Amino acid sequence: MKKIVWVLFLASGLCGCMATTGNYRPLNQGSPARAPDCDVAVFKDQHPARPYVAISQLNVHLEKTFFAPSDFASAKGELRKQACLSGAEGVIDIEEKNSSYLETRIYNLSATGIKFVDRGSAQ
Amino acid sequence: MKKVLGAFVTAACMLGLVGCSATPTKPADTAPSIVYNKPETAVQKAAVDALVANGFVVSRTDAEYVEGARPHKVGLVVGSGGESAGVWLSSLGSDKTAVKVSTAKSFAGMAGQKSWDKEIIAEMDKSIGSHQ
Repeated sequence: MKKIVWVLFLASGLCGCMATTGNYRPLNQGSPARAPDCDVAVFKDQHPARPYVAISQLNVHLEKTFFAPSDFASAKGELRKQACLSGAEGVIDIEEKNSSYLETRIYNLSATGIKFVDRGSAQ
Repeated sequence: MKKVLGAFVTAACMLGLVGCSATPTKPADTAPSIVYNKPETAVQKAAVDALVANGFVVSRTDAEYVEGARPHKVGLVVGSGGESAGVWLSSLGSDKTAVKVSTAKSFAGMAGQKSWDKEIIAEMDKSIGSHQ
């Protein structure tokens, strides 16, 4: 019994050592949501060659205690999810910011969700 | 057995307490506010974005008030989170908006908490331009 109690206590503590929050705000009247696991093209260092329109402002925020850092790879899943929820087919203007407070390492990613003007992209 | 259950209840209560957030208090009317040369709707959107960018989960988005709280994180020594912040807006005309920001720290976990006022204002400056 004692073991179970400690396992439960430790598990609840460990579960609470990180927080991931994702968010989006529609731009230009937004767009209907797509399936949460939809395909999203990520344009990290360049803009797409095809014409597009910005439809959402995306934000993913990760915080971890125990001095554990986060990076783009750990935020990518939430970024895709928020992009899909906002109806975006692609993501551009990715901006990353790292900061820290005491033992907490903070990683913030902001981006713009886009929809291609000529239809026929992934979904 | 009773001892173990007692310890578990105490631990659960502690975790519960840590989960509580304080409510931000509006700074006094005499306290200086910052002013943006933007309409209230634009400043309100920037306030929401600024809270989100600083890890706040936004719970209220009224035309003249935005509020959010940062999730608690258990840590090696002090953890972090649990702060809540409020952003009060008041229109000074069609293209001028006064803003007041205040962070509240909760009773439990205060050692790992800080004021986010400067960071929130910096993020608003970034999205809509510097305040006066």
